[in-house]
Amino acid sequence: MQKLLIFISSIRWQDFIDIAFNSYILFRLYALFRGTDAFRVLVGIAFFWILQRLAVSLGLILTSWMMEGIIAVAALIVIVVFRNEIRSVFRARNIWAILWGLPRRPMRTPVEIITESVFALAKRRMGALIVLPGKEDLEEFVQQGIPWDGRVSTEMIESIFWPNNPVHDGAAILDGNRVVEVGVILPLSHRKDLPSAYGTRHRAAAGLSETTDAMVIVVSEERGSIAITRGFDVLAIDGKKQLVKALREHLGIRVNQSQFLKRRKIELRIAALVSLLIVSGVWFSISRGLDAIKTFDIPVEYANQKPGMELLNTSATSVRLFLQGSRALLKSISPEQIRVKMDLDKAVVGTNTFAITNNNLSIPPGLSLKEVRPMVVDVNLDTRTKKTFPIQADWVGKLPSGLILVRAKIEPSKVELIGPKTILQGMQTLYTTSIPLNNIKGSGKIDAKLVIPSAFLNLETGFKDTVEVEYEVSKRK
Amino acid sequence: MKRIWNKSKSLCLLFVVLFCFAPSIHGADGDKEDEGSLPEKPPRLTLKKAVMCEGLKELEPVNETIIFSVTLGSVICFTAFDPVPEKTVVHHNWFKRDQPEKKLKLTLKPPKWSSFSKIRIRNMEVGPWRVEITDSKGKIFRTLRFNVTE
Repeated sequence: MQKLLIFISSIRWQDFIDIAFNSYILFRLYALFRGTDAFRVLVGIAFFWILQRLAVSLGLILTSWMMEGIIAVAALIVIVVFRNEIRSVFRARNIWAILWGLPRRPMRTPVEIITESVFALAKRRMGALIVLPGKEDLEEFVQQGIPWDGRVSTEMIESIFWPNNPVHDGAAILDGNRVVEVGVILPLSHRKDLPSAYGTRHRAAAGLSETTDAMVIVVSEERGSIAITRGFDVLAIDGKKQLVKALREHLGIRVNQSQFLKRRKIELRIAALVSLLIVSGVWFSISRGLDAIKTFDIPVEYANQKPGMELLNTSATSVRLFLQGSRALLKSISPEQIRVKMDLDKAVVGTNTFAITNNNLSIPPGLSLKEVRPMVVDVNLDTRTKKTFPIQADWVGKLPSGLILVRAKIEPSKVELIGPKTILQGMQTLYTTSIPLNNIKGSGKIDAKLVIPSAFLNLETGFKDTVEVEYEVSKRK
Repeated sequence: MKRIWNKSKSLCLLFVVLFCFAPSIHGADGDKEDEGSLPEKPPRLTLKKAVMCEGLKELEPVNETIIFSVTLGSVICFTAFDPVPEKTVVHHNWFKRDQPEKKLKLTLKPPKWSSFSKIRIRNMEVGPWRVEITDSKGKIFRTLRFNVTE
C-alpha cells in the first residue's frame, strides 16, 4: 500500500498531461478513421506490432524481423492505397474540426424525396443520373461538374433534369440532403455484357459504380424505366419500396435512428476509455519502470562565464552518468538527448569546484540519476590580459665547419599576446619554429613561424605569426 | 669566474689629464651653477660590452657567436663594465627555455672591470638559451640570447 502511495506521489503533473494528450490523439484517430478501410488496416498493423514485440521478448529473431518488415510495408501501403480516405478525413473546413469536433453526424439523405422524384421523372420520361457517393472521394473520376449546393426536393431534382435545363444531360451528385454538383460527366463503362438496350446514360452510371463505391440511379428517357448501379451490378427497379430499400442499404440508414445514435455515443465513450487505458499502460510501462540502469558518458558543457574571463582547464571534460529507468526507455534514448551543463555565472578567478547535481542535468523524462562519476568537477578560470614578448630564434642542426653565426636580427623583435593571465605570467620568451643551420652557407634572411605555446593565446591584432630572421655568418678564427 | 684588472699606462695618463683639466672644467660649470644649473650626476655603473663567445684570448672574447655546438663543450658570457664607480657585484643569470639554470655572482672593482661566466654544455642542454646580466638589485643591463645545438 505504501509502495503504491509512493508511486502515485511520484507522478508529476507533466505526466498527467502526457497521458491525457496522447489518449486524446488516439481517440481522435479512432473517431476520424472509424468505419473506414484504412482504420481496419491500422488495427491490423497494431496487431502485427504486438506480435513483433512478443517475438522480440521471446527471442524469435526471424519472426521479429519479418513483423518489422510487414509493419513498414503495411504503413506505406496504408498511405498509398487509402490516400483518398485519409484525404477525405483530413479535408475538414478548419483544423478545429480535426482536433476537437466530434465526427459530423451525416446529414440524413431524404430517401423518400429522392424516390418520389425519381418515379416522377420516370413517369414524365425525363432522363436522369443521380449519384449517391459512398466513402470514396469521386473527384478523380468525374469531370466538369457545376457546383449547385441546393437542398434536395422533388421540384429541385425535376428542374435539374428538365429537358430545357442546360445541365440536364449530366449527372447530379447528392451529399446528405444537398445536391452538391450538377452537369457532371461520368466515366463510361466498357463492359460488353450490358444489355444492348442500355444507352450512354446507363454506361456512365455503370462506369462510375465500377470504379468507385458510389451508387447511381438511372432514369431512362426512352422507356421511363428506373435502374440502379452499384459495383458491377445493374438492378432494374420495379417499385418505390425496392428503391427505398436499396437507398437505405447504400446510405447505411437504420429504421430506428435514435437507438443507433445512442449506441454510437456509447461506442465513442468506450473508445475514449480504451484510448486512455492503452496510453496509460504504454506510458507506465515505458516511463515508470525502474528495472534497468544504463551508463552514458556525456561531455560537460560550461556556460555563462563572465566577460573577460577564460576557461583554462577542467578536471573533467565528460562525466559518466548512471541513469535508471525502464529498459525500453533506456534503449530508445541516445547520448545526444542528455546534457550536463555547468553554469559558470558565479565562478571566480582560480579553481572553482562544482558538484554535479540534478540541476546540472537535462535528461529525458522518466529517467532518474542513480550515480555520477566524478561527483565534482574543478574548473580553472582566469582573466584575459596582454603581454609583450621578445622573440628568439630556435636554431637547430649544425653549421658547416669553419662558420660561426655571429648575430641574428629578428623583425619584429617583439610581439604582443592576449590570453589568460596565469599562462602569460609563466612565459618570458616567444620562440620561432626550428630553423635548420645545416644549409646555411653565408649571411642571409629567412622567414620563421612563431610557436604559440597554448591554444588559449592569440596574437594581438596587427601582429603576424611569421617573423623575418636576418643572420650574419663569418669564418671561425 | 675570472677577474681581470687592466692597468695600462695610457689609461693612467688619461686619468691624469682629466684630473688636471677638471678644475678648469668644473670652474666653467661652477659659473653656470651660479646661473641656476643642476649639479653634475655621479657616474653610474655602465655595461660597455656583453657578448657570448666560444673562448677568451688575452682577456678578450674569441669567436663571438649565438650558436654553440655541444662539441665545443662550453659557452662563455663575457661582460665589460666601464666605469665602475665603486666595488659592487653583478649577476649572470642563465636560462634554458625560460627556466633558470644557473645564477653566477661576479664582483666588479673601480674604475672599470671585465668578467665572464662559463657553463658546460652537453647533449641535454640543446635548445634556446638566454643570459640576463643584472646589477645587485636585479635590474637587467642586457639580455643575450643564443642556442645550444647538437
